[in-house]
Amino acid sequence: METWEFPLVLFTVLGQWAIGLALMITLIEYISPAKGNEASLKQLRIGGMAVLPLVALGLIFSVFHLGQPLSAVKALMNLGTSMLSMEILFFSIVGVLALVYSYMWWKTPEKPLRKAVGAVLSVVGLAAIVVTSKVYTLPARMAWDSWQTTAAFILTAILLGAVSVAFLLNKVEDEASQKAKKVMGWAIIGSVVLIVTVLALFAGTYGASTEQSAAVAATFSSGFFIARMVLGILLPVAFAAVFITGSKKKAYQAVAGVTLVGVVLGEVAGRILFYSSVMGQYPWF
Amino acid sequence: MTNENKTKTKTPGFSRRTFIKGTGAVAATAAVGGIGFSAGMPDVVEGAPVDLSNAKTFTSSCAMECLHHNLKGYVVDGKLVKVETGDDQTKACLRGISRTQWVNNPDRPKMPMLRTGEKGEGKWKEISWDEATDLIVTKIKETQSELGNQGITYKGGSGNFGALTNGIAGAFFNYIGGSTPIVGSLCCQVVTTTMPPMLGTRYEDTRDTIQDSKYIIVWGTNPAVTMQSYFSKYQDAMSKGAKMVTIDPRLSETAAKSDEWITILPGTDTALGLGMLKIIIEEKLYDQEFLLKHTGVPFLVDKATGNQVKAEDNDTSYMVYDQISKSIIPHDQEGISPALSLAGTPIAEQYNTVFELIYNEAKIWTPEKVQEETDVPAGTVVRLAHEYATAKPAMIVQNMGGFQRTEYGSYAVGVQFYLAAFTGNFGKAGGGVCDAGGVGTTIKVNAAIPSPKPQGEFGKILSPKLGESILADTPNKIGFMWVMTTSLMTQFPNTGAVKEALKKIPFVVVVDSLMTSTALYADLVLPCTTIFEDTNLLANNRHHYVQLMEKAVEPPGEAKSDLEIFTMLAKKLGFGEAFDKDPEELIRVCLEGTGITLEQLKEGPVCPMPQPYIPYPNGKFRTPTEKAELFMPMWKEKGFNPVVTYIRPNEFINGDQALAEKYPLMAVQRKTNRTIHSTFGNLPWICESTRSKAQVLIHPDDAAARGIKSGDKVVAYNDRGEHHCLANVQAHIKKGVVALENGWWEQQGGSSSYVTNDFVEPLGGGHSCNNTLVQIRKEA
Amino acid sequence: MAKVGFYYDMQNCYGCKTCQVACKSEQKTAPAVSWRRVRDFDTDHPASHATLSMGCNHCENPECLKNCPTGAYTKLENGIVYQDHSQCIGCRMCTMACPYGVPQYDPEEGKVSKCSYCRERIEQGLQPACVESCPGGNIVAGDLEELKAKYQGVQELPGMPAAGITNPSILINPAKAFKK
Repeated sequence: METWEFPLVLFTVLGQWAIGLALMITLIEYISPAKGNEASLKQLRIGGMAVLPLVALGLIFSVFHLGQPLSAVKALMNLGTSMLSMEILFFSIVGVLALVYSYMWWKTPEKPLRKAVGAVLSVVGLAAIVVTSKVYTLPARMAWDSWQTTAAFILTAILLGAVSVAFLLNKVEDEASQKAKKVMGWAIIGSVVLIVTVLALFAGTYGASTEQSAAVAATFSSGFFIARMVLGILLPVAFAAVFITGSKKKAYQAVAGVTLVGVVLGEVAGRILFYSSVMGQYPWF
Repeated sequence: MTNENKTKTKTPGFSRRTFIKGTGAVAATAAVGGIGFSAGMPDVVEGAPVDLSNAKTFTSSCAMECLHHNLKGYVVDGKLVKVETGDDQTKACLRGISRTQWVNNPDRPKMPMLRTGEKGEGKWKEISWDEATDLIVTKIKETQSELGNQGITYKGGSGNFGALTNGIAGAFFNYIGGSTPIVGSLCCQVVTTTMPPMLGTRYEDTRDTIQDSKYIIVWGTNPAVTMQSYFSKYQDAMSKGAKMVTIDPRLSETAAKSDEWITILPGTDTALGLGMLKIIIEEKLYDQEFLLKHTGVPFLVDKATGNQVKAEDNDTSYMVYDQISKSIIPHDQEGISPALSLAGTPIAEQYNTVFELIYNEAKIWTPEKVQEETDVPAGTVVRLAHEYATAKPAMIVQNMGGFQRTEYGSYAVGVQFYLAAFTGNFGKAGGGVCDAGGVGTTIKVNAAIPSPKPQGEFGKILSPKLGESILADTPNKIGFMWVMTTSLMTQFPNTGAVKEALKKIPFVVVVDSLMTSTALYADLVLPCTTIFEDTNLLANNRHHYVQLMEKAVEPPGEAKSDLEIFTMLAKKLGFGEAFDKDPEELIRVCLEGTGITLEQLKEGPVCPMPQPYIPYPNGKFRTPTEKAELFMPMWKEKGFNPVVTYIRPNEFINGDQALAEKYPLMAVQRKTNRTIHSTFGNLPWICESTRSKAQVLIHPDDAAARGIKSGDKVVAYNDRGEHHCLANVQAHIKKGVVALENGWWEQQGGSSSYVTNDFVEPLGGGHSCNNTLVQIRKEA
Repeated sequence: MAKVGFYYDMQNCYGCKTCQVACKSEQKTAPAVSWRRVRDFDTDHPASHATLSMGCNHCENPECLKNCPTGAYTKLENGIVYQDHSQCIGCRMCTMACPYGVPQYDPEEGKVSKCSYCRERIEQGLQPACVESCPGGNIVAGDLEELKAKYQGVQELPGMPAAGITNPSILINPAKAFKK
């Protein structure tokens, strides 16, 4: 339980979800604008407003990782070499942007500016995710020290963002939304394929070192892995297939809801494994 | 342990670690009586380094059965805050350093505690010393009137070698009219009974010249743990080209550092020794000059009586056959040439030499037969014999090792002396046989309180049979038992019987500074001081220096020194004046005639021994003949062969077959760096740095056959009982042998002594724990 | 300026753990926090047993220092990698980043601490407690360059983290089992 690193799991997953959500909404707004469709806008507004609480919740959880939560602000003191300092800085900026962005959705201000803020948030957010991944690329911890960590974190954002937007737009049936959902569907399929690829590459590192083998073994032998496969991989693929094939105009709302919850839980399970497969081996030497 | 103390002990000027909030955990379990240890320690010993700028320092010594290192204790505000090596040639170990946690232990009894629940239940009430001593006096008197003084017994052990500790107890029990003695050391009884008649003395150690050796056989002992601060001397010898060979069923810490590890079946060492001796004799690798000049091997033994032939009018001189005058004359006559063998002489019909008798026992041990019995390869036996006999000087490290805690351990001890005598290795730097050693070889320390001789007949209880004897009322019923400086419940074999015995005895007093495993089974626990809390003298057989142990801090609560406790009782029993003395006054009594004064000791430890110390220099042994007397009349009187012979143990894989079938694993008892017997085993630093659970070392093949993996909870068991431990599966032990660890406290799951053999070694009354058969199963 | 380091004679170390307890005794670290630890290096075929005593290696490129978000670590002029304990917020980045598991977290205190090379003792002209206490004299403290001139040794052994990560200031005379 201790090695699950729950505060970090929730911080990273929620933060990445928020960024992915902003990214996907912004993407929709650029490539398939709702063009005055009230229903569609209303749904996207829910998403836009959700960005801030997700980021805020994540940040709050992150503080509970610390042995000295009241001194959290000191974490900004080593921007020179510490990726953790940098991560806190980036997420502080993401937090401010999320505040502006969600506020704009709430107040439905001028569209172009909101789109622009969304774009900035997406770019800064993705950078923040990259920085987060760099926190874990420690030479001493081979299982983390890889581009795969960066890829995995970004894919989490894309998958959660895409599933969320697909969920929000599920019952909106206008042409723009159908197109948007199809894009989301492909985003889901694409991210899932890449997630599986990254996992396969990780599995292939078995034998690289004792610690690495133990991390791989811990990952693939865990119940969390099965949960992630079912909830985070198979479920969204089935969900996405509905929109891509166009077999139906919408999925049952309940299915959409279950998928969203499932994917979030799947990602949480995956993130628990990310930490526990390494932290569970402490002391490594 | 107030908050004030906490802030005081912080290091000023440094922004350092702050104190942890550990005191809550202490408070939770600090209430005496519970079974288990406190998790934390009082604030002064954890959290941040202590400011020592105003510390006072005091000197003491690790006084239990160990190396008696001189220790320096730092005291701040009346509290012992740090212990390190004091004025000593070698360094104290992790245990000595941990004494801070012993002295400051939150689990220490602070008042006499009277049992309120069942024995072993751990329920107590605190009573005053006056009540406690009244009660003891009443119980002593009741026992005396009901059972006589025979109904009283006391056991002091190796927990404190201070001159004002066990010796005081001996005097006390003699003052009350005597008590039934519990005899025989569990540690090295057979060395004590074999070595003095054979060589003249005990506690002759060769530690000063280990580094001069060319060849070292570490035989069934583990100096990397049990002589640990001297181990670098072994390594010095090795770096100068010496070869070190370790004979042990386990890859001990010493074996791991040796050039060669020879595994052997437990209890068969004598066969290996005789096999080596056969080669040495047959290939004439022995040192003839040494044998003739310094040993009794030319002594004649009358075939009719089986006794050595003594010179007329001299009970300590023996006859030899002189090859010059061709006559039987006293061995110490000048200008003679004693015969080693009588073959071809006219007296061969009537006599043997001791040499011949020894050879008769050795010659049957061909390398092949040795291999069959001991599982040491024949080639190794030959090589070992050649190497040992030709490397000069060569040393055997015996150091009260586990090889002699076997069914016929006296012979195993004896054969090592034979080997050293035959190769002329005694009396030389880098040679000899290393025993534990200390000042007792050189000075005679007086008893602090002279003791009257008790009247009446007293039978005795043999230590290995303590439990069974008391349960069977052998030699008589015991009504009162006093236990101090020992751990009956973790050391004495067949501990289940010991536990029942403690329950059976109507009144058991345990004097200790911690709630030990044995204290759990007491009727009354008396809290005593530990070192740094009283003044004592250490002049015993573990160190070459005489040391003063200073009082540095007040004991917790009303804990008292053994001297104070016996004085209180003596006063109530009417002989107070003999005991009511200042410790320094008694120390002066102890030192009288040694040439050492208390004033000298206050300046620092004093070494009365020659440096370097070489036992039996120039082959001058300390027997009446000044020769090594390899023929042992004492063994003969007990109905055994007077020269070393091999007798196969009974509780052994090739011994009692029915037993071996039921319990097919041979268990040996290893010593760990965690404890000295059982002491220190409860201290948090020790548990954290080593282990807090008993282990059994088991070979992968034996483990696989039982479905056991490393870390599994397992039970080692036999008809005597069970020992619960964790499996450590490694090929670091001979297949078919397992290594158990004794000394684990009841509160930690109990000692391996629950299963160990309580057979009394018949030649010397020793302890045979290393001839124990067990079976092991996974804990259900 | 000289940079501190340790020479450690693993070949002669017999694993008594006196250094580990001496460190606890000196620094009074919390339960389960041991600034110096003795590890076992065992093999079955052939059976071998060796021990490795290690405190902080006061690395040339300390990962703890690099990754600490509060800048609690500094490499002092004399080479000691020193933690200003008051700056620690208990994020455990250093525990994850150090290849040698040197910084250790105390959940009671909510902070990490680590071996300081007994800075206070060094400043008083004393040896670090581990060095002082070792019965075999198998741990030697001193200027790393001088130690290198005096002793043969390695920074890395099979089973140990790669020395390339941090360039630890240690020189180890390997145990027998590593010298084939």
